[in-house]
Amino acid sequence: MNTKGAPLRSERERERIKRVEALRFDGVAAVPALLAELVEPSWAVRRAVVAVLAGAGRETALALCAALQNARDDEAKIAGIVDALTASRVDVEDALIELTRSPNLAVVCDAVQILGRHESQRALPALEALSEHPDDNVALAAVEALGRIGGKTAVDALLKLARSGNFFRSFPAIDALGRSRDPRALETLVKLAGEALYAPEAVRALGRLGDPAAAPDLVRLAAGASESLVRNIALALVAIRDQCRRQFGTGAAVERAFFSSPRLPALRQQLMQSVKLADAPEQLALGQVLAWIGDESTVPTLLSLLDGPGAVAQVAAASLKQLAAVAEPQLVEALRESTAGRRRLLIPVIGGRAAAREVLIECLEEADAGVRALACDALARLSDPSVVPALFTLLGDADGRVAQAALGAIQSLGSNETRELTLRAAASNDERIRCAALRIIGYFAYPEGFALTSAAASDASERVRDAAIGALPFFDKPEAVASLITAAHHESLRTRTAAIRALGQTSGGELVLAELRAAVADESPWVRYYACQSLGKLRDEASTALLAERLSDGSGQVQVAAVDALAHLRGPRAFEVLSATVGSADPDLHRAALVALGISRRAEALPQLLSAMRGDDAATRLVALSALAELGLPEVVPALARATEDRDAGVRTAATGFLAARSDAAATNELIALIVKTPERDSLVQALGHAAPGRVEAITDALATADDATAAALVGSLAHAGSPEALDAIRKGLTVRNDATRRAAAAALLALQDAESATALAHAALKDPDAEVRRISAAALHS
Amino acid sequence: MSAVALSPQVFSILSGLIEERTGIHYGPDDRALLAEKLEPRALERGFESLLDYYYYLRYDPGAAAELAQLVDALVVNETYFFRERAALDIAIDVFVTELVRAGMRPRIWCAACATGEEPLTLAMLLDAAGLLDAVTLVASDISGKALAHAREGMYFRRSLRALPPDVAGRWLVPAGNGMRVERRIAQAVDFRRVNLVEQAEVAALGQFDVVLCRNVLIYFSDTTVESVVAALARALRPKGRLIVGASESLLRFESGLICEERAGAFFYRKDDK
Ligand SMILES: C[S@@+](CC[C@H](N)C(=O)[O-])C[C@H]1O[C@@H](n2cnc3c(N)ncnc32)[C@H](O)[C@@H]1O
Repeated sequence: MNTKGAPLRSERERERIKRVEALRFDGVAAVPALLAELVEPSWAVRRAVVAVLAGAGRETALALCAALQNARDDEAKIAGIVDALTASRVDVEDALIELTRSPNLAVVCDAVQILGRHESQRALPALEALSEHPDDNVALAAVEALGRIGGKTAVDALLKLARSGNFFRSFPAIDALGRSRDPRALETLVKLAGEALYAPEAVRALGRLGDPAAAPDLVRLAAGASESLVRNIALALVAIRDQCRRQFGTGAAVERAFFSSPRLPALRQQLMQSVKLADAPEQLALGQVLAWIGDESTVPTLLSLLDGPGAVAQVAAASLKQLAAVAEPQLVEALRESTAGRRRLLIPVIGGRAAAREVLIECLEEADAGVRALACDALARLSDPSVVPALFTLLGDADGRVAQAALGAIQSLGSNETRELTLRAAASNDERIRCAALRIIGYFAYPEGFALTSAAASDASERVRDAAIGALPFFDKPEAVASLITAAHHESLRTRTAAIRALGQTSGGELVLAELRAAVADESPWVRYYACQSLGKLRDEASTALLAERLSDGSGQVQVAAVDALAHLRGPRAFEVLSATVGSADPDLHRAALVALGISRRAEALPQLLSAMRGDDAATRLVALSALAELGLPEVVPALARATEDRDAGVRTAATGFLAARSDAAATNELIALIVKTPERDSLVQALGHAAPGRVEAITDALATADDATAAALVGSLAHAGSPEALDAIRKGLTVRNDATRRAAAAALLALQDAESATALAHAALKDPDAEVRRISAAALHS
Repeated sequence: MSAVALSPQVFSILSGLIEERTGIHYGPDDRALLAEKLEPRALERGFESLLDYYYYLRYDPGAAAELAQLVDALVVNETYFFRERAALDIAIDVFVTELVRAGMRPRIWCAACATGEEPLTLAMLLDAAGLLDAVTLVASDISGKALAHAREGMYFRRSLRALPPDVAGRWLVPAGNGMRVERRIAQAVDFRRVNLVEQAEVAALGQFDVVLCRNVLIYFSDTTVESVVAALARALRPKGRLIVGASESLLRFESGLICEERAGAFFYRKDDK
């Protein structure tokens, strides 16, 4: 185990930090001394100074504002002051606003930056004025601050600047508008996208804005645009589509925007042309767009992208897969003509198609092992047993992955011929082929194969014995058990271990249990390990005491296996032992006990599992969480909800998944509550999108009082759900009193391209009291 | 098609163990990648479940040897001669030369040298500067397989992709379809096995004037980087320099080292106070 040392600092640095931290208690009087420490650079000292200053009270904060004006003798000092004021929670906005009137423009810029970071509403009028300041640096800082603050006033100011015609102001304003994600920016950005000078910036901003209402305009703009602008447009469309998919589960509105264009064939040509000089991100975008509007003519371009960087090639392959139905002969031909690198990408593209059968069989002879393995997988998906003989030739492949893939394919295909081929392979001189054949015999439990499997369990080769032992449990007969018991006494430890493990996969019986109970005291820890596991699998209640004893086994893995086995036993003693083991200091034992408590499904386990959720180790929390989910009680739901905010990403993902898998009212309510709290978390929106009784009604209720962000998220869940009932709820959302809900509903109907709501949208476009609803509804009708 | 499944729980446990022992960090998105590397090792050992394999790594007396083999399968040994050369030139032209002039024998350590191209490049550059005999050059890696390759001294196209014109023939001699490092250069490097997260192993090497630790910290989590860099800093003599990869930065860590820039390359200097 590694001993993690504290970060090393020099003696002098440590002294300085100590001094800095002591100054914490001197209040405003300490400011000059603290600022002096910023001058000589040291990251550790600087961090300490900023932390002390940021945590201090109002007087200190005011002193810092004054220093920003008066103590500008050193850059490091100024930067430290700005950082401290940015991090400070004390409200000195008025003093900072005062500073924006300083004659020293550098001071103005610093103050503006801090106000922007604080998202100060009060500073809006000052910032708006400064955004028209004659000095470009000041104006730029103000525009950036406005962008950070967002909201109606800030966006209005940015809109004005974007349209100002002043190059230096418009550019940053356009950028800030895109980042604002505010739908009011749409119209201005679309207009600017039509002006040569601003087009690239405005198109980029439209991509960031993510509003599908922009898609038809972008498509229109693409017709006749320069190659570089076309590439920009592709990037923007893909960004908008991705945003729609996250929010509503579909990108249809963007993907279909091309189809209303009368110039579709020309656009297709333009997009293909523009691939040539595109960089990787642009290729990534173009590759996707070409799939939306693709036909046979786009296939060669997409094929050429297969030779691009990894991500581009992946996207091109995915796009080709979408076109596989219309371009099947072309793709089959391409696979035949391709190099190994392209073949690896193309096999999954047309793997499942009958027309690819011949070329896939050719691929089995390819020099590249990856291609051979993929071809096996693809042939398995053809459901054509006539390919089985070809697959048999690969069972002895030098590359393990290929042999494994061939084995898997043969097992999934089956066929009358398979039996005969397998029995023949079982007599092969090649050890690998024999092993594979034994696995197939076991898988199909061929009665004719039993005798040779049983004999192979005492073969001279360890690997052959392994394979035979693995196959024997599939033969449900006493002779199979007898062979396994013989193998359990073989001189090779690995063989004994395999046999004890395999005994746990039989259907049990007294002979088996007696053998396993004896093996619990074997001299080898791995035999004991699998003996415990097997007794648990066979639910041998009579072994409870025997297993409990193993908790003090000298080998850790045996203790863990005993816990695992006890989990499968129902008696009170087993549960008692498990509860006691949860307190173990050994992390593995602790975790195994948690898993076991989950399997036990007893309500008494709840407090221990909840307490484990508070531990430091992420793996342990994940195990406890899974056990909680396993318990299935309604009381676990709040814990699952809390875990969606865990500090470990794995725990968060799992918790969201567990919540998504539940369909009780408790889960619905927790998910809604979480979304109200953090509407920006797409994974929650998707989780709530799973169907559950009463869920649509609960979402509808929550929508009555939702704000814009929450309404967008909740409606997004309904869109993800996509059931007739959910779609109906979205349509009804267009008529409720809450403006936010109507906006969200209109946006969703636009994204979903919902034909049924045309009348309602037409009505809303004209009559809705809210301008935003009217705008979105009109856009939905046009697209 | 995979024969052995890796559930999120077992992934979390196994990746935790691997990180503890090697520093290499796997995020939740790397689950399939890790499963692909673990599967052949587990099957080779006769395990059908990766949890069983984990217990093997945790409890079996053979775990150390198995872990060493697993590490060989996990690490990325990608490297080549004269990679990110600017920093090497400056290290020699400025720091090493200065110390030799002052009458000292500088000690240089390539931590995480992979298959040896980096220390061998240094040896060549030192030789060109007439300093090869004036320094001690130690190189180490966690991977026994990579070190065996380094000691073997044979290199092929991938390693030679950035070779300056005058190097072949001078320090590298054609052999078969590759090149062999000249004896004098090869013998100048002392290859050792050192795991950077084991502070005792690092400390046992003594102190150095120049430590190169390039393109390995990217595989570690921030906490691990912080403790590894602290150990490396302790292994620096006063005024010694730590050199990390061109795309790596230690500025967000409290290393106690002072960052300096020379000709676009970054060095971290140990305070002499
Ligand atoms: C990409 S190579 C870098 C080689 C060389 N330094 C360069 O920059 O070209 C990374 C090396 O780090 C090694 N490594 C990974 N974890 C390590 C650890 N904990 N201790 C020592 N070396 C480690 C790997 O074995 C691998 O050889």
